[in-house]
Amino acid sequence: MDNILSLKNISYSINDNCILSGFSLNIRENTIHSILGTNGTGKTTLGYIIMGLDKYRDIDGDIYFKDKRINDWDIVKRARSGITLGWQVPAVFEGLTVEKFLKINTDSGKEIKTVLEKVGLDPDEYTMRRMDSGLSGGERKRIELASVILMKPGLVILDEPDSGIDIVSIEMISDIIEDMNNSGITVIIITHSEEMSRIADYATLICNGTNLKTGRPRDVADYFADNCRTCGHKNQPDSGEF
Amino acid sequence: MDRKKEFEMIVDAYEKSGGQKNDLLDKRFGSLVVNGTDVLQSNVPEGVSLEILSKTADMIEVKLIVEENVKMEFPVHMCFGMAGRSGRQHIVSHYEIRKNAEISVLTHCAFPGSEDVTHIMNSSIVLQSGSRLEYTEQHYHSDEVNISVEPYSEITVGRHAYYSSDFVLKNGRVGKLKIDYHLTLNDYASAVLRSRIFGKMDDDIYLNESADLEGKYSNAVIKSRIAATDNTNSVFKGRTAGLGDYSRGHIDCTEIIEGNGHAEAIPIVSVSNKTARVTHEAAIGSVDKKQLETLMARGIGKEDAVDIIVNGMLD
Repeated sequence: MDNILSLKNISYSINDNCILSGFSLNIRENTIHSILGTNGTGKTTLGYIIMGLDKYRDIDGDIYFKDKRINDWDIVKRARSGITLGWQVPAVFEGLTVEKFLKINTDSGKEIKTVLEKVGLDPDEYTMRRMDSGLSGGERKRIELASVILMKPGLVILDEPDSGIDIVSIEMISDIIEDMNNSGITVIIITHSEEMSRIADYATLICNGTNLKTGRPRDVADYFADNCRTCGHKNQPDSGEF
Repeated sequence: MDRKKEFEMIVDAYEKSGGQKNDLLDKRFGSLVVNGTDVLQSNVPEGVSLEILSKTADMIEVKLIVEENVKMEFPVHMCFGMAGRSGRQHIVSHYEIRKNAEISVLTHCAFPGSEDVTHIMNSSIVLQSGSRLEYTEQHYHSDEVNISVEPYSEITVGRHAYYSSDFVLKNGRVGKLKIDYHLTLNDYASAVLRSRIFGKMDDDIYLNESADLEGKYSNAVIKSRIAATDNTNSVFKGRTAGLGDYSRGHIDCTEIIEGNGHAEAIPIVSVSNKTARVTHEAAIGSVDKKQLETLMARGIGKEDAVDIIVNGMLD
């Protein structure tokens, strides 16, 4: 199996505050790979660096997507090459309807209807709803997943896909992620939840901006539960024992 | 140019401003089509009277009356334009919506093939008690036209009456726009003033909208959404005055700037009745970065993403 994404020795700082330090990781094509870690370990930053958001392109190290070095590519070029991002808290768009938002990636009303049903939203109720604060965070999250499905990317980074989702719906979100993967999309899940991490094929534990452990999700999640949840060093590994 | 050609040009531009050609031709709908000061078409439905009070080379004065208790099922469409002409068009209009009458009016202002136009609308609108008027004004200006648009309205909303207006200028350039609307509300009256404007190039946008909440339990909302792109200059002034017992007013202004755009918002809220309450919110800034990056992460180029966001805000 080939690597779709390779991160080699990535370091990134904001105002002399080191967020990622020599982070390396290979993501295999057509897998689900979770990035697990407590708050503030650099998980979201890693997602933004892969997507190439404006303030996250001045990095040390190399990013390869399908064997091409993409450090110099802006967000649009990366997206058009097949990378996309689902935000932890999706944007609020005043006025923009769900239909118009989803039409960014398809002209087919039938496809929009199908994908809304897939993410558990009634098309009759939601197609003309506006993507404003009238929608809950969970509803916006499902709509964002719908837009990812319609885009058909090669790689999607989902930042905390389970946050803001009620417990009953988490299983549905997991199913959607697995469906995405079955349709050929490589999925990176950024999460602090061992449960969410367990649906992955591979998992990486991130601590203090470094790749602490990569392996089977169960092993990584167990390590995370046993060590990180009770860890007092809070992203200062030099000051304590792992 | 013959009248048929003028009519076709006006109708074509009418469609560009968001209108449906068939609505103008449908006899169920009231309609008035004016080119310059020439009336090209007039269809007056039962219960409504539409009269040309006076006319000069550059001014036409019309009066629309909706009779008491008449509730219009279909809107009245008005279309004012200057097909292939330059100069000044001054529309003076009087609306009288009598007791318990209800009507919606869609006005389209389009200036196809014009080079230099000054379009002035002076309206006096009186809603008698229990009546309802929903007024929409949509403009289409081509990018080439040097245009100045000056709509002035004095609106009196009677007891238990409801008035809403929606000024829309999203397609083509704005030119120089100076809106001046003033509302006076009586007991239990309600009103909404809404404006949605997309400024481009060196457009100059000035809005002055006010509401005097004189009646008890009267309420009004002034809501504006303006995009000031390129070298557009935009100024919004909104004023609500809480005068009547338990009157309520709110001003809501959002302006997005892009390029060298400049925007100002001046909300004025005043209260001289201790039971009244008026509020305001104003936000000016560039396009929200997260919105932009969300769309760009789906492969949309920056300029198109800005267009989608701005048009969404103006929808």
